[in-house]
Amino acid sequence: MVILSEQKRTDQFVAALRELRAEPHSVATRDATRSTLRSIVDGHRSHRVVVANLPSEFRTLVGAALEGLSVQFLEDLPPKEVVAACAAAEVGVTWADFAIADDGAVVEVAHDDAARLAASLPIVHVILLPAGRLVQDVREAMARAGRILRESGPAVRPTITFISGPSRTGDIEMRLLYGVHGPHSLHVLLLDWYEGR
Amino acid sequence: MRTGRSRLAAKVRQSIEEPERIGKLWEAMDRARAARTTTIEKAGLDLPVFREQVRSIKETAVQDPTIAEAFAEAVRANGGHVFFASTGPEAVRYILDLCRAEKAEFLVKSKSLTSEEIEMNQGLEAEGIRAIETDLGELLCQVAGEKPSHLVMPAIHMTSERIARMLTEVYKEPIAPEPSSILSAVRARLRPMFLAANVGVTGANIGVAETGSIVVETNEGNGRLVSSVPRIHIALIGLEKIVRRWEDAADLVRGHAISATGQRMTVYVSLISQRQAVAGDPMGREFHVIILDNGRTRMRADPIFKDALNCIRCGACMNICPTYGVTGGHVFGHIYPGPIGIPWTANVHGLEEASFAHLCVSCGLCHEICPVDIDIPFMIAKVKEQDVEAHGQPTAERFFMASEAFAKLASLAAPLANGFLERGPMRLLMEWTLGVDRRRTLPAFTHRTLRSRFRNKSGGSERAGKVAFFPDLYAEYNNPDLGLRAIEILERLGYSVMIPDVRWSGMPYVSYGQLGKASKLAAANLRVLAPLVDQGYDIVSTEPTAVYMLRKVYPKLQEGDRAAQVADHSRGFFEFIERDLSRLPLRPDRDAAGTVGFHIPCHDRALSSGVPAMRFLEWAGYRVRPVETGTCCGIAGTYGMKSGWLGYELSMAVGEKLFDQFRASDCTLISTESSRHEPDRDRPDTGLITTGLLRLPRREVSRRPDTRGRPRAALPSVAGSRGPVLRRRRGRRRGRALRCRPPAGRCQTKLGSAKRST
Ligand code: SF4
Ligand code: SF4
Repeated sequence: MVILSEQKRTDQFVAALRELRAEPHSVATRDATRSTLRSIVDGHRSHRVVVANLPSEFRTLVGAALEGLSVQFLEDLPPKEVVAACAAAEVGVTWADFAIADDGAVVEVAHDDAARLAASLPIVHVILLPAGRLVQDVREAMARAGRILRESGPAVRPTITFISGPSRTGDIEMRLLYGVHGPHSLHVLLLDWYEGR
Repeated sequence: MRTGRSRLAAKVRQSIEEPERIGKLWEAMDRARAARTTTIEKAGLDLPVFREQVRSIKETAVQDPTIAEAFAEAVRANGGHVFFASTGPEAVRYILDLCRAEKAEFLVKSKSLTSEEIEMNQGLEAEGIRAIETDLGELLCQVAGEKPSHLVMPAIHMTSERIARMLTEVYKEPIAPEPSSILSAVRARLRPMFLAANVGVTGANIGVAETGSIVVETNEGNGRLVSSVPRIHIALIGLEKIVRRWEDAADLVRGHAISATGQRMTVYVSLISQRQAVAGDPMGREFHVIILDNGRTRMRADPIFKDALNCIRCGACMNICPTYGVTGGHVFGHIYPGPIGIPWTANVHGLEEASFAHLCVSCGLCHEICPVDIDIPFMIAKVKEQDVEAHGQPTAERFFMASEAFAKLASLAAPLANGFLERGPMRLLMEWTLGVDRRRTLPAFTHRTLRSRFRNKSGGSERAGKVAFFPDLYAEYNNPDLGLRAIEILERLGYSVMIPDVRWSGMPYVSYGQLGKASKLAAANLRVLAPLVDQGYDIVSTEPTAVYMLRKVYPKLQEGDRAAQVADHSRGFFEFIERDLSRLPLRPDRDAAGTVGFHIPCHDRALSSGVPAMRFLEWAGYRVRPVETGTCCGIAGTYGMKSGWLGYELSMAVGEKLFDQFRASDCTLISTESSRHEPDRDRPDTGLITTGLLRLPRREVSRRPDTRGRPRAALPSVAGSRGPVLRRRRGRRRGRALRCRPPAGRCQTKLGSAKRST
């Protein structure tokens, strides 16, 4: 394995995302994060947004960014309404813990299924990723996921998902189509300014 | 098996005569292979190393008898339920009980081959519970009432037109034959199902014992919905899918995606260990894991079939299988389709369902492409053996297994025999009595065999080494010139050459399921060859199939050091001389105009992929380029000589794809390394030249150097020497027949235009 400089790794990751037809956005500041998020949602002409699995400090940020739209923080909803809220939303905003530079995969670590539902049911998925959290390849990623699962201990293990681009299928004459059950679009916000939670 | 085979033949006929049954399968296979190659290159994957790693991970896990219990314990510790199902019905019963307790009228499922293996949908439906497929391809098959025809692309046999027509009828709304319209319609239909489902069933691509987790991979995202929305998530996992540690899972995840569709990763790779709460509320959600045996423990104990358990279900083997490509998964498959479907079917669904084994032409390509290095062809030979034991063997196969005796006889009686073998009435009789298709030209025999012409004493020195030349039947009885030229070259390069007292290599025994005979023959040949290897000989053959047998098959037929040593010291002729090529007194032939289209013989793909032979031609001054479909030419040794749909017709259907490529290419000469030449009398434009390639310096190196001071060797053109080369016989009926005879001059055959320049 080659150890690449941070910048090179990021470039590689961004290129891999594009190849998967995911849309990368590098954001350097808190403000840029707000405005980018807003323009993505507006760009899809969406009004209903569900949010899950974000570090608490991001809740205000997202709330402010999407002011005037219908934004639901799933953790605050009565549990029975979560599925319906996700099904009705056009955009889901969630969190990625780390990502794989080689493959353009973002990794979601979910201790609550609200995260998976918000990321799967709406047609647009926006995922926020601290820019410094890139591992090189799938082996490194799997080792890291394995460590998280081992360390969590029995009965409190999260569900971890590697997501490589939007939902797709080649089942009809092997022609590539997007958005079959999951999102049609995947936006990855690379947070240059944010270190960790 | 008469009936098994004749039923199979009828199905083959249907597929070939009604190509709409298999849709764009062949193109899809092509594209999947191309994508795989591109991704491997881009990812910089060292394939041999990768295969070895994946294989060792799988082998270790599959042979570990305590792994399933460890996995189960960890699942329970996470709060999940585990059920060990020793048969399919047991597993279905368990699911049924869960549905009943939940009062579910239906369940949603993401793709699971294991659920198909146990015919879960049918089992549930019989009890009034609907299982709704959510994978697009699987759903289309379900709506059509058909079985999936490919492991990874279940509905690849359907065209978008057909799908649109079908869905318009079922959904009672007009759907345009555009993939995107189909997609939207399906998404809209399935969404309410996902949301209302109380039970979801997924398969599991991997089970990881250390944390009691499963890995579910889907591209569409349906696996995520099925495992997150319903209250109950049931995962069905085959016993063989469990590994120990997470570190083992990485290569498997990569192997699945790359080999299946040429993706770097499947879009959603979910690592699931337990149910999660929703917005903090556990909601009484349940996780059930069914670990299915269904014959796997028995397979694990079988010295040959245990290899099938290493399968990671990537589908690569069916993307390369030539006869699968023209018959489709409904013919070449029962529930498990394709090459690996043969041993799986025989073991989990019974021998009676596995008669499609006879569609295998033993090209060996599935083994070559398998990311786990599974020797599928050998398991298939075993299935054929069991089938032949139970149901008997067709005469044609017995005839070809007697090729050696026949060649001896025919060469004794040549040229009389040749006359007979060429003439109509005799061939008609052979077709009737033996099942040898009369349209196939049989190679001419000579009574001046290689051994009778080669005084078993080499003129060569031992400067470079010692070679035992393995002639096999063709160089011995049909084309001794080929053998003699090969020997001459070896001697010029400083090898002393002898022809050992071996028999033929015996591929038909393997192709037609007589492993006992194959094994005896291997033992006899090894008895001769092993001592030679001990004395420092290398074994060299002009016949790729013979080398394939020595290197790949004998070690499986005869375990032990002897076979391994002989395998290590056996080489194809061109591969063997490759490093000496620069010392070979060849001079680029000024007449070597045009381009040679080279077909890589299947068995050579496992060895050197035709590269040394192409280099050799280039060294001799030709422009060479592989012309290939990426798979077999269809003749497959003797398979295409058998008459009928399980022989000639099937082989021509495969060959047609290659002929098309040759027709479309600009090459003026066609060549391949293997010995057979198979013109088709009824369709002369489909003749395929096979040269021995060894049109080599027949005269000594000229004393006078050429103008640039290089020694001059007369190199007759590829087709201009004495070996048998097909050419168009000038007859009254234009282009009526192609046959094998020594040409008088230069002969160039171009497929399609039948152009011949002299
Ligand atoms: S050996 Fe060739 S014909 Fe037989 S199953 Fe494998 S790929 Fe198909
Ligand atoms: S046998 Fe090999 S190539 Fe075929 S599906 Fe299994 S792992 Fe893939």
